[in-house]
Amino acid sequence: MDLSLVWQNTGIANLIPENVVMMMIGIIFIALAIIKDYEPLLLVPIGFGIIVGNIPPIEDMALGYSDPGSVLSYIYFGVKQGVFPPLIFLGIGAMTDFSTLLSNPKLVMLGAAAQIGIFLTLIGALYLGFTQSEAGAIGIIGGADGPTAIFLAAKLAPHYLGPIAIAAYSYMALVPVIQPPIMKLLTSRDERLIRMKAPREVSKREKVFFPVITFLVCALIAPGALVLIGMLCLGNLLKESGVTERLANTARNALIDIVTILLGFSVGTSTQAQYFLTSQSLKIFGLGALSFAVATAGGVIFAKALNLFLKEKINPLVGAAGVSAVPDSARVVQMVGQQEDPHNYLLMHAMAPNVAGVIGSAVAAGVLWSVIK
Amino acid sequence: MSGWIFFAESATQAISGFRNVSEQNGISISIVGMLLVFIVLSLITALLTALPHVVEKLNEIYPPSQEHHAPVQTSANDEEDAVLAAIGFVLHTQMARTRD
Repeated sequence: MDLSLVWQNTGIANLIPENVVMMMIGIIFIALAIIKDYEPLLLVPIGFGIIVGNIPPIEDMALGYSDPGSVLSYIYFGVKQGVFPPLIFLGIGAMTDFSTLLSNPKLVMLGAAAQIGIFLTLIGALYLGFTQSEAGAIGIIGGADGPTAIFLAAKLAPHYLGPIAIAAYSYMALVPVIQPPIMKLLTSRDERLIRMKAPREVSKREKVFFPVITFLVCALIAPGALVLIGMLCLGNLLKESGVTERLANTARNALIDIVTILLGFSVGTSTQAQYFLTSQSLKIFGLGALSFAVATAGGVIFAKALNLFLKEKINPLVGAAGVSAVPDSARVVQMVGQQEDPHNYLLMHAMAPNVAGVIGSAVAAGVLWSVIK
Repeated sequence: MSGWIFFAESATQAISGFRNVSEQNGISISIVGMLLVFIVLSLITALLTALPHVVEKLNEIYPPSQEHHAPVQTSANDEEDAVLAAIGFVLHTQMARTRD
């Protein structure tokens, strides 16, 4: 037996320093998830996927996500073909209560305003030399929605899916760090102290009509958003109809958990060092941070602009919740508001633009896919 | 002279960057994209604002109590019995604790 051949077929023999760096990143993600409780449901599978994906490939063995016939390639199929993100949206729809949005519909516009982060980042990416498709996929990071970012990246720039997904999920976990300074910079103390009227009671019929109306409007104007918005609305209808509780329960528990594991893990395995550790990835991370900052600023500034025309003022902090990292950005609004006035409860008000932002970012993704493809 | 060359190089890079934005229709894509997002969400806002009034009219024609899965109407007596049962339970547990 040729021992040198055995040695050549080990992972250690084929390991490059970049693989080690990526494995360290994977370990850091896992540590952040377990020790700091930063988005553990995502960072643990992604972190472990990074470690798995950076075991060096062996010639003539189908092991990696891109090797035809490998197990990882079958799991990655759900990412590559955009199957997993709509299933996640089904679960999100089944667990989301849109009552606060229904009780104060004008807050939906704050969710729209925050999507400026997507389009300004797109321009920034073009400025840095990316192509139109790549810039569209990078811009969607500003939507602060992991499944949407993965969905669009798989369609427009699959070669950058790894860094885009990692950037999107990392910055979503860092929302409590990124948003507060921007929110405080753009608002005065008096504005932060604004108290909003308690949301009204919403009837069951309104909650049932909402997903149907929303889907029809979105799909007829932006058909690219059909599958994401369709699954979100289906999940919500399963929840609100009152007659499909078993299905809603499955969608928001077992189904979303299964898909989250497979999605996170397979995205992690796609971050092989030779494709991930590049200057382009660094630019994507930089643009990602910019996109979150711009989205936050966009929502807050729009809320201030709306207040010029409203008798019942909106607390401008609520605009920051248009960044659709549900429910973290709504929690950040609550936290920043309570720093000024501990008895000012903004969480439920912030949930309205927060969930509207999910719809807005899915529509933006649909628009980008239709316009750029 | 070298300062001028650096500036000229920087200016060329800056033009290249903006040239790429212009050639790839970055501004028009962004404007159209934001407009469509605003149109969709404005329409949703308008429809949701009108929704309570539509539901109110619908409730007059087809009240929620007539729905197949409408909650069972309880009489005032049933509710009173439930309240009395709850009070009795609390008293019982309080007395049991005092005895102990």
